Amino acid sequence: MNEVEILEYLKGLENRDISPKEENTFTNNLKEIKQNFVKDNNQQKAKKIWCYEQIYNVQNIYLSAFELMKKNKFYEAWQNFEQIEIKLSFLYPHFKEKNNEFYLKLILEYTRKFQSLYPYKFFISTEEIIKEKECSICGKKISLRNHCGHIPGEIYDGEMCLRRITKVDFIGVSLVNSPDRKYAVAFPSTSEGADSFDYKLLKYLINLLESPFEKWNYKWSKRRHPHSFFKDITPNDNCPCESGKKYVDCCLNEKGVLRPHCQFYFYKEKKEKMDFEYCY
Amino acid sequence: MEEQNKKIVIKDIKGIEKFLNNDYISNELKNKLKKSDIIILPIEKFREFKDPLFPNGTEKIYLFLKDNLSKEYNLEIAIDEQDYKELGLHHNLIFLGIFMCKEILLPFLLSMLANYTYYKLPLRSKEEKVKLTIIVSDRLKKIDFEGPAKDLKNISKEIKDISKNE
Repeated sequence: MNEVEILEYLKGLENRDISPKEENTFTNNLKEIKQNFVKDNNQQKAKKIWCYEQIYNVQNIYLSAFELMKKNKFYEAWQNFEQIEIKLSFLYPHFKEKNNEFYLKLILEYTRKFQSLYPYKFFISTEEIIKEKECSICGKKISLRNHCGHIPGEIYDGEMCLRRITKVDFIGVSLVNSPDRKYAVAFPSTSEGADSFDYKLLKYLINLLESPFEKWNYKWSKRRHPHSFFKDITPNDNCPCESGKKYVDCCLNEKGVLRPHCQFYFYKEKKEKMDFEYCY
Repeated sequence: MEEQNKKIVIKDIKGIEKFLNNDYISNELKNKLKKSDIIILPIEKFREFKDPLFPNGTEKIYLFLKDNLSKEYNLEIAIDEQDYKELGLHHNLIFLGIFMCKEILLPFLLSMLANYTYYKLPLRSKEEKVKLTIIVSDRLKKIDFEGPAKDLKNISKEIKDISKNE
């Protein structure tokens, strides 16, 4: 396999239809080509292959996230979306994509859109004091003034330099709304230990999408929802519109409760109703 | 001054000795710090912790500055090697650190930090926020910046203007 064939393969994502065995052959080919460049100490070429490996990973993770959502495995898909963000943040300092030729721009755009429709609001964030770390390339203990020379985030012998933490004290856990580690979702406790989040917005959307490459958009607004949606709320409870007033002094006197409303836009014609009433 | 999500606060400080004469710094390093042009300072008294701590990622910033700083300038970090520890808080607000320099080097330092965030930081979004503190040693000023990483390259002039109007 030469570079032209690799590029053709990566650029043909939308029409890619091959067996897992062939997929495996592709990754093995990349690995082998990279090893040969490393043997020849051709750092530039080895780095290029590392970039192609990352592109391939990002593409596959996105396809897998879409499949997971189709199977209603939303938290697993959420983890995939985070992996896409992380891998792209590693890749972008080394690789500039022109005109969405590898679908990376599209993948990031739709990753962000899907993420924004998740009901997750709070995340667990750990706090730690890192006392010692070592270089993933040479294994040397990190010392600022006597540094091994490998810079985190740079590519050496076709691998990205990272830090392995070898001594750490965990000092706390916080509940945050804008986390660094998005996978650490704070799940409401349930007796069955099941995921009790309401994913109906995502379920509605994913059922209408035919492919991970189908274009769509959405717009938030506020609309009055029928009082019958809020049967469990008594007049003296807080108003479900979250104004802070009592229900009786707020929306109960109106046609309905003012709640966020999400309207989806599709570029392909859909038979089903287009908008969705969001009542989390 | 607050503009959208950007915040710059400039305060007077009484002196800079407390940053350079700490007990945890060896005499040898104290002497080096006196001759340094840019110094990376630790976070002191973080909650109940006595040890000075540096924000997670300080190693990368230190190496970047060292690599890009002209040889006529000295960069130091105000900690002895064996005492260097990083604090990881894992919020999406990225704390770049506390820096000390003379006024003349301020635009240069800000521009280097802007380049660092643009080229070297694995930002997940251009809107991701950064935070930093700079002690301007010869003007006895403390500048705190918090805002989108992309705004960092433009704050040098704003700081100058605010500083003049004070």
